[in-house]
Amino acid sequence: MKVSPFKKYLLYVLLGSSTIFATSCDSDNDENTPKGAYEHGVFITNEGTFTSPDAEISFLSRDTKTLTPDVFQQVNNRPLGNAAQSTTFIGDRAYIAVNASEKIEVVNASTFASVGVINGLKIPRYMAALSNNKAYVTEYVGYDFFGYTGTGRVSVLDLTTNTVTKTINVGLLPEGLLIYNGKLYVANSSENTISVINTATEVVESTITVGESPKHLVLDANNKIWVLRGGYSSPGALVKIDPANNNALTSYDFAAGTSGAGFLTINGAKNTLYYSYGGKVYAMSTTATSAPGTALINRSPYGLGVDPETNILYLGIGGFTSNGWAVRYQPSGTVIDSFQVRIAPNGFTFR
Amino acid sequence: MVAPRGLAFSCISFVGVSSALKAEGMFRCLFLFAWVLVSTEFLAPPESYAQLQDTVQLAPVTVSGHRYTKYAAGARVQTVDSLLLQRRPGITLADVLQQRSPLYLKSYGNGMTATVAFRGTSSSHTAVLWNGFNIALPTLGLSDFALLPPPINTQVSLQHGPSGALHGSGAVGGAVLLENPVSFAPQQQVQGQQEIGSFGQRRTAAAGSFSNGRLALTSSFTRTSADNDFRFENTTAFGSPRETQQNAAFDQTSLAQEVHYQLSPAQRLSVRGWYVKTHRQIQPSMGSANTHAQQDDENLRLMGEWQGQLAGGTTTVRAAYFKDRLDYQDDGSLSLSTVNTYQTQVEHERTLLPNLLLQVGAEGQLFKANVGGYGGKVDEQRFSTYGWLRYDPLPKLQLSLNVRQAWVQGFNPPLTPTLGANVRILEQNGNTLTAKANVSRSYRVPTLNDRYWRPGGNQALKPESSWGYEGGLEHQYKKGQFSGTSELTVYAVQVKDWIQWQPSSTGNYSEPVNLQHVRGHGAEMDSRWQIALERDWSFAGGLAYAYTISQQKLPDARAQLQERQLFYVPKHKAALWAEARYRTWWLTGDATFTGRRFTDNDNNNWLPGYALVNASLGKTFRWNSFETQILAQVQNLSNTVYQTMAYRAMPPRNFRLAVSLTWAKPQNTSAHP
Repeated sequence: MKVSPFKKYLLYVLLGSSTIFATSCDSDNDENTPKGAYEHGVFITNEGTFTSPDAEISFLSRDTKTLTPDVFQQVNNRPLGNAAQSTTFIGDRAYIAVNASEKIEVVNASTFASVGVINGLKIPRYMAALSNNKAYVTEYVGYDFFGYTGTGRVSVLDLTTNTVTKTINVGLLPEGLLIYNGKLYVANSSENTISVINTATEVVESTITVGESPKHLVLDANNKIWVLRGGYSSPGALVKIDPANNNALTSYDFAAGTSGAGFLTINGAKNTLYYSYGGKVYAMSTTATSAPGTALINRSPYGLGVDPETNILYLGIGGFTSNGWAVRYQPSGTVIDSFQVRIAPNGFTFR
Repeated sequence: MVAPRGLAFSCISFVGVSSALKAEGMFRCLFLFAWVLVSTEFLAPPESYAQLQDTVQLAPVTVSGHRYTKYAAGARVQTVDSLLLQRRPGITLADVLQQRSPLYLKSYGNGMTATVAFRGTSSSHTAVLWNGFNIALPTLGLSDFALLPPPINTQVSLQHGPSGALHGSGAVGGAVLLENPVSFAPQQQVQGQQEIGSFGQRRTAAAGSFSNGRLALTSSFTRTSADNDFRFENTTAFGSPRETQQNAAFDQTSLAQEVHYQLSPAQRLSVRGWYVKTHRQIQPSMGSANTHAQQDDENLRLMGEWQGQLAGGTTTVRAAYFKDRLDYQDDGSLSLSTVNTYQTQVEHERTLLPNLLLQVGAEGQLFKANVGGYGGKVDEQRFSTYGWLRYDPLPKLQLSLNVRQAWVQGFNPPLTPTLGANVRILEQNGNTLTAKANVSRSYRVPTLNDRYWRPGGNQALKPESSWGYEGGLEHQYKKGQFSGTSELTVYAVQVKDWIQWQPSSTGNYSEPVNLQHVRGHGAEMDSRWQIALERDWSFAGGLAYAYTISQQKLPDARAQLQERQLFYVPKHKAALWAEARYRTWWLTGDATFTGRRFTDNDNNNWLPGYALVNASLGKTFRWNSFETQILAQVQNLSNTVYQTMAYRAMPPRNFRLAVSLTWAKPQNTSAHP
């Protein structure tokens, strides 16, 4: 597999009003960042082609407005792996969970040079860090809708040795996870529960029933945990968990006849939720009394993010066999511009 | 996102690869009895193919043009060298096509899933017909050529270009035709072969044929297995270490039986059965985890055929039953699918005028699918009727006009006509030059997965359709012991409403849409020659080449639409082969060159071109009615590192040795020097 030698000289240009120029992203890149070329910016996780290890990370520099579509291959001269699922920054490292390669690639967060790998995982999905030395990763292990009969699990990672120190069984298809006040909340997306794990004892200490198919979790400014849930047999909802009040639940139900929960994220001030559901993107204030009836953006994102610095929304758009696009929107839902990334952009990480 | 992954997985990965039981070949001699009938033809077939006489071929076999040839004026139909199949019973179609055709074979590993495509289309645009019946897996709409070890007397022909009128749904880019011709010429023959090779390769084959002029029987049995634990360089890992391939073993057993009975001089009855059972481990791509994926396929095909001369014409009635089981599992999933297919065909052919031939027919198909992803059992019915006309207004001019109309439960595919002509423009001194032209429309009904997978399956999808236009020149030469055929074809093809799975616009899953519009053009060249010198020496050789442009418009980084070559369509593919024989020795070699192939539709990445060379040396010993043949082969002689699918390691140089023993009842012919 070769990479086009002239690719790095190509210009990657924004479609809309503003223009982003690509530069060669070799180490001779003349930037004022002493730690590396990729210290600050927007990281786009591209899943890649199905069954092929051509997942990639694209990088957009906010400062220079340059886009590098294939950071990992450029820096490390090898493909990232098969089906990148998420990118998480912990300390001065970035951790990329690659689900069909059953590994987490560990790179220097500023240079993106490979510094290690965590193996021994089964379909790793998303990560959350307790500290710079310890983190958790959700693992599907198997697909229940394809006949898998076991459970999903969460692995405890020692980031100093890049090893798994313990696995904790949770529900089926554990997806999003969040640590608050010493408790790890895990959304079991093929069930109707959130598993709550005590990070001191590392055992599941309770299970919260929230309704069908909880997927992602965020924490708001008032220390409330929000869950986006919704499968295909009944309408979904945003569910608010109050950890201070014995995990009491408040449900913000979506309209009857709708289905299909996507992503949930929150703005920099942690007071506005953005989520995708039923092929559209919605915004909701954390103080709202009901879920919004109308969408902010009538577009189905394959990935969704909101930049905490600028509150600009990022939607990943595209198919499975050709380059996808990252499309940027104002918080109001007005489109700003778009740029071409790699195949199947499924997530955005901001640093 | 789980849903899209999961779905893509189910729809694509079963194309996936797999298999491991390993059985040392028991040398079982099953009786197979071959029979080959010289079927009469009203009109001379426009194609003639040169076949080198094989030492093993003790009985004279006369092969007639198959049922489509006379209606394929102006089209490019090529018969593949059947010597390869005779010498190496159980060789997969994948190997045959790789070595003898200009088609690009996409293989996920040695013995793993392999597909072919014609003229820049995709594997699902290749119809595969077995004695007139489409055998593509109805769920996926394509055929895995690694699962088709052809029975001993199989004739393989390639139809290049759309041919929906002749071959029905799926022949959008072309068709692969597998035929087992009928012969009642008296003969008795039994043959067994054992082959061993590198990486645990084993092949056992046995075949027999019998005919007494009224009853003809043919049986063949093969068992093939390999460990595929070869060494390769893992270019996806840091430092590109050399590793041993894991999880790539396979085991395959096939059994075929034919019974033909001449009820009366004007009627015959035929029954054919073909059973293939394959267990494969699925070779993971480099950089992907070994999830111990494996796939079990079981394909049972049964058909009966009655043919009689009735009311001044020939009437044929066929019925078939297929059972296709595909079970996939890995560490995290298990997927079971079984499809039962019932098909019938009724045809009538008659001569309206001495130079005007008509065939009309109708066929019905019923699919009964039991697939986990459909959320229940699904039935689908399809019908079509067709009329084929062949008219020779002048001795040097042949015309064909064919048309087919299909009806599918829920929607109607387009009417698909074909118009073609051959004109002989020169005939002198052993040279014959023929000009050919053809216009054809074709269609493909969405697969059962496209229509019924939940979520995403869409019963309102339109069928894909294609138009093909081609013209060519064919040159034939025959003088004494020197003969050859060459053909040059140029074509244009376009495919509309190409179905592609993509993220759903309404939810968190994948769905098929009529998305792509693909235009292509290209040229194909084919040339085969043979010569015999005195008694002892003979030479044969051939060349097949295809230049293929197949493009769709995609936005670049500036959002400007650009023409992009479809992924995995090489611009250049050439196959070259030669054979020299001296008395009882023979030496053969083949070489293929495959150009650069893009591995994504944006043409960001590609696999570099590669050349592959195979060679073999054989020797025949004969005493009385017995014949023994020893065949030594080197595959990938130049030890080329190559991939046909990105990141799927292929074997380095490897060796095979085969011994066969044949007994044949002496014939009163002098077929051998």
